[in-house]
Amino acid sequence: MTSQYHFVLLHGGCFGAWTWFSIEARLQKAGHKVTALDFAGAGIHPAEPNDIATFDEYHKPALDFFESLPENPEEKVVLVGHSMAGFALAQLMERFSHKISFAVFIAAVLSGSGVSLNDDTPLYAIMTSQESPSTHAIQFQFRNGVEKPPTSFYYPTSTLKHIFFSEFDSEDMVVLASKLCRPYPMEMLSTAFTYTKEKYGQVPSVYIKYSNDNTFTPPAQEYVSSKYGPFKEIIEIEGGHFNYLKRPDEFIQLLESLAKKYIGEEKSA
Amino acid sequence: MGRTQHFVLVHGAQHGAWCWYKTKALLESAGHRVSAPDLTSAGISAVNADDVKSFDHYNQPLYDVFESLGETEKVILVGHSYGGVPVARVTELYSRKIHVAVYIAGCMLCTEQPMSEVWPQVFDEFVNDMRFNFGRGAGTSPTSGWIVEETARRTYFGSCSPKDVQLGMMLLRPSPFMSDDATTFTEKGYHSVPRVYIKASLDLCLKPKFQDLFIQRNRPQEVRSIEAGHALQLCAAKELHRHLLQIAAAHVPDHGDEIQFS
Repeated sequence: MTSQYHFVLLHGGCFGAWTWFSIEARLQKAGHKVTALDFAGAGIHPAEPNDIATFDEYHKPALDFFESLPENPEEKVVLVGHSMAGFALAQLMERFSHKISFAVFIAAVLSGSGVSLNDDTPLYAIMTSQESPSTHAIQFQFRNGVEKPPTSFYYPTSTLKHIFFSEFDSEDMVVLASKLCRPYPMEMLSTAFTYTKEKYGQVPSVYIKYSNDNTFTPPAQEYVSSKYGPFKEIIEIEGGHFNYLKRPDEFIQLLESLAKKYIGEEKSA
Repeated sequence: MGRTQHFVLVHGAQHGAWCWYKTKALLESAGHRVSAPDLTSAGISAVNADDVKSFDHYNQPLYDVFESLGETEKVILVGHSYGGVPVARVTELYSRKIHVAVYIAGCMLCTEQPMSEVWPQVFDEFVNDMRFNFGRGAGTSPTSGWIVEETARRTYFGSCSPKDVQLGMMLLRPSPFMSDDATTFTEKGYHSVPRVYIKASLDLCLKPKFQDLFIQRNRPQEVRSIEAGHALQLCAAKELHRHLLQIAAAHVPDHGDEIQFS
């Protein structure tokens, strides 16, 4: 008997809930419930990204959603986060561990508990190294003036294919991204929050690594997955940053099998 | 071999530039240039629909495209659904910059058939399925509106694949209500540009009977038809692409003897 779950999907930096459209359609067809949220200032959320200064502000739509979820073991969700949503995964798992049955980190970014990304020196160094294609493509916005740190980053249209979609045959995702991506708020990356073994660590989770990722490179994924678990499994997939969109059926099969393995048969159709 | 053409794509109410993703990808892969702006308050526009001040404010991103064209540059202008109304406005304002105006399951108005006359007929069917914001307070006319989810899903995205339905439903935004969208259509302006109408014969949003009315009252040079639902650019993208290339070949002088049907 196949189990049905409630998946909550969290998009990566510059993207939005829209990113999950092909995944959401397939999950619904398979009988699952799906919630895909825009973080503040992302997708069609009305906030201005350059005005967002904290993780609480950025994650507010997800925090509000979890507040509204009933305190019911039957209603636990499977939380899936991609790329920069790693921070949201950790924050939500810490605050709402009792509402999350399982978490999936996809090439996800996360700094140490109590350590901001800017202060997580080894991780910051890998992410900003010359070896990372992202470093050469990224552009910044300076809402507070150029003498102050940048308030957001974005990728120009001409870089989208190489950075995000190099393994895709069709240009469809590149065009969609060119019309829907928005700058990603950076001020919060100099802030930190704690996540603990007692709460974050109690939610079973896995980390999916993509070996040909031009956005959040393999060395960075290796760093996060080896240091900031605990992860029940670290799964290596040969693919780029959005491999789950390139191979959606395989991704969903993987999601379902992992959920079944680590949650068990408590949820039934 | 045909040379590079510049297509300007105008989305309809509640939609945004995103709805053209397949059309833009296909045209660019065929070597053409594509401008597909978000009109004000649409797509990822930072402006709220209730804060759109006028029809000109709504169209400004489209005017910007035309203002940025080279001296001798002309475009193939394409409008979907309500996007036919901005298309008509820029056709009147920039007639010398347009080879041909293409209306896809769209509102193709004329002086004798302004929006104020069309609206009650076409949208009578939706009146119970629409919701409104009254940005100027109770007792005033609405500042924006949208079609309720179930009706939007069925009528906007009929014939679409589940993933495109999902995409569209996540990105629809309220549409601004503007009272000043009437355009004066002159012989030298609007009527000097050839028009082509592409019908969607399974359209549940702008029903074929209304598409026929537009065609009858304001005869275009050519009528084509695709057997699909309202969002032809999503549910019949490849077929639409072939039509657009054929229309370009027919209406751009010295286009060349061959066009790519890729």
